Amino acid sequence: MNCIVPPSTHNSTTVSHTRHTYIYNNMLAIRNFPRNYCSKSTLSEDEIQKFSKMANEWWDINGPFNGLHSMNQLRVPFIRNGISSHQKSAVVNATPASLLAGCSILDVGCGGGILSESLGRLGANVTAIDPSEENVAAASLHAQKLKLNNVTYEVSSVENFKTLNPTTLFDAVTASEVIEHVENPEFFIQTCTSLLKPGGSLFITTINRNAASWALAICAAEYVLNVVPKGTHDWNKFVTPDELNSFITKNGCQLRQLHGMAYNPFINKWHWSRCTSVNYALHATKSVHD
Amino acid sequence: MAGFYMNRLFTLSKQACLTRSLRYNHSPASGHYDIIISGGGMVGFAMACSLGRNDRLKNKRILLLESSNYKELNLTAYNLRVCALNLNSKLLLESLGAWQHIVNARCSPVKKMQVWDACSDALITFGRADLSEEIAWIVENNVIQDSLMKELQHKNQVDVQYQSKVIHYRLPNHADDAVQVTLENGSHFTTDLIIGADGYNSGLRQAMKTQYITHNYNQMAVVATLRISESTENVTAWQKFLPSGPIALLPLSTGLSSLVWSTDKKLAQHLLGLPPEIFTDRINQAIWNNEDINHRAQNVTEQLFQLLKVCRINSREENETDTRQLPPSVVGIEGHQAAFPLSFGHSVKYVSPKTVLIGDAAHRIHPLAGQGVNLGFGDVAALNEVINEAIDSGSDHGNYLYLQKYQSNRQLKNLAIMAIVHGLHLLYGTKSLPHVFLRSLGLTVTDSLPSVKRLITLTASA
Repeated sequence: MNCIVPPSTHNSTTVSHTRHTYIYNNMLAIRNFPRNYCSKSTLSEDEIQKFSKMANEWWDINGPFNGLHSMNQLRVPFIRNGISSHQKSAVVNATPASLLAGCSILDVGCGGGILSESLGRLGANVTAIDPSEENVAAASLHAQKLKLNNVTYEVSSVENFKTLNPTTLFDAVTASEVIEHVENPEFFIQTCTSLLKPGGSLFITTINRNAASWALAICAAEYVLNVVPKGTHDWNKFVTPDELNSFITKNGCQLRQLHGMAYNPFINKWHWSRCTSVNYALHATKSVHD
Repeated sequence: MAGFYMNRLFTLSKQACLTRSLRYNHSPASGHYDIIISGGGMVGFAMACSLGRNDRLKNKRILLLESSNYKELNLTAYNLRVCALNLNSKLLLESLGAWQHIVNARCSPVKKMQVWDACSDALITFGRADLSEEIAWIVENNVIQDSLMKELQHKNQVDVQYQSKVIHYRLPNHADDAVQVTLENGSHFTTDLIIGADGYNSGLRQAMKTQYITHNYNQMAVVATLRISESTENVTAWQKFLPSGPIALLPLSTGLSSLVWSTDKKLAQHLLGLPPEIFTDRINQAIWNNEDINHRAQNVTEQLFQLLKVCRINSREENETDTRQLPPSVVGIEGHQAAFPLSFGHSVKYVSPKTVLIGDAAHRIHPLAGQGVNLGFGDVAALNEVINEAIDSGSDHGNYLYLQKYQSNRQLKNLAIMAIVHGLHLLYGTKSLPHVFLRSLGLTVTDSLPSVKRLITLTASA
């Protein structure tokens, strides 16, 4: 990945209305891509910088993101089952080899594409966006290597994506381990739901905000066990299930499922839990009559 | 043999040229397969069938590499190597479509098992008294192998290449790299998942550089096909624990049984050199001789047996005969006796990235409980299951996290069975009084507790 030029600091104010899809070749350095920010972006600049540093490590299953690789064992079936039980019309072409064939999914904050690729392998047409150019470069390279043609990566925030593609709607929008990094979670949810077809599904996984999550997700995970790089999370940005529920309800969505998730760092394994006080996953569907 | 190849060739359209060269092994080939199975024994072929039938892998290409030649099934003589398949193995073979070929060839159901001790009268029986239930199936190794080969002919996505000895495996350092396999004839393949079914001397296991725990029993199993005097239906498997090792007679047909006599190397060598008549005498002697009986243990066992009867704990029904069924006597042998060495082996790891071991490559056990190939078939079913789970979760079929799941599931089961079998070997490998007491009482009590026996049967078939 040493061929990749660091993200440009150049911020163009021109808003391009073409849909940028970049499949990077190993030998090509990334062009200085004009990053487009809406007037009201939910992203903080220091958050983007932080993840860019980690881009090379995304696909190392023993690396800093092994917890996310392992989380796929829970969240992918959660999304798959959520779609196939609430949106049967979206997956009419499903075969045992591709259970989500025909379904369109927007993966917001895709990072290195750990979740996007898995959804793509299930046959879904995945549009994966991330504001970090390095993340998207790493993700594109990897998908290209595996010849996954149904996953398209773009450098974009969700707000930017909405502005550029005002009429595009998806069967499902996923934002896994993302909302705890955004500045304005309420606006983030509003944008995500606006990208859903009527009846479409929103999947969120994130971290609760309470004493337990501070002790486990910040102190234990970042400082004692080192399973998450230091400084990954800012506790103040965490969102509680109640807050999240009120955001989705305000935006015409109905809560379908809310599950706690528990992580055992010693065996790198996630399992479902009744307790939502630290990590949790949420599935909501948009009202059919919008 | 030619017919076999022709059949296979007609089913393959696009890759006919490549496949032909693969199959006949004329010239070095290269290419990428989604899965490569190294080793075409019973377990390797079962794995290939299982993957070949898997709907989720319909678009994948699978290759099975076997170092030996294709062998046509010959049913004139009974094969000396037989397996006692348990219910789960039978169910697996049924689900693979291979069982019908086995039934069409030959197999012998076991409806009762009687296991007893040379040093006391203690015995245990398994199976229904009225012989109404089949509890195991004795099948020759080559019949199992052939049934799976036949079934695999219908699976287009699986290529089979005989005379293909792997000389080098290059396992990936990085998750995105492929496994590289080099054959003796210069062929070179890459794959996303290599499955090692290459037996106890597994080359893949050596390439994984994992620790392999072995124990040499200093025993050999002497095998032969026996003519027996049994005039009634031959449906009972017999096993007697001699201090030198267990001797077992497994039913093959009305007048024939298969001998598996595990004994120390010296005696085994001696038995191998004996002419048929004397060898027959030695078998009868081993089954019928009571010279190892320890009378103190014998008395205590007898008293315990009576006590259990008085307390009505004994499971045997009134109309059932209290006396033991007598084993058949051997009247001669078919062909020659042979022997193979016994050892215990267990690989500390079954998996590494994109690499997985199944069957004897991962674990090898003493044949005294007839569990060897059953554990291997259990591996096949378990690996197929985690591959399905990986695919359903949008992961690559060789995803390491799922392979690790296979490893922990199988080690839990395999190690338990291996520990029990090894424990039995140690417990019965002696004449010392405390051991004889312990095992005789244990066997007598266990035999009188139907629930415990059911548990044993379940464990043995799990």
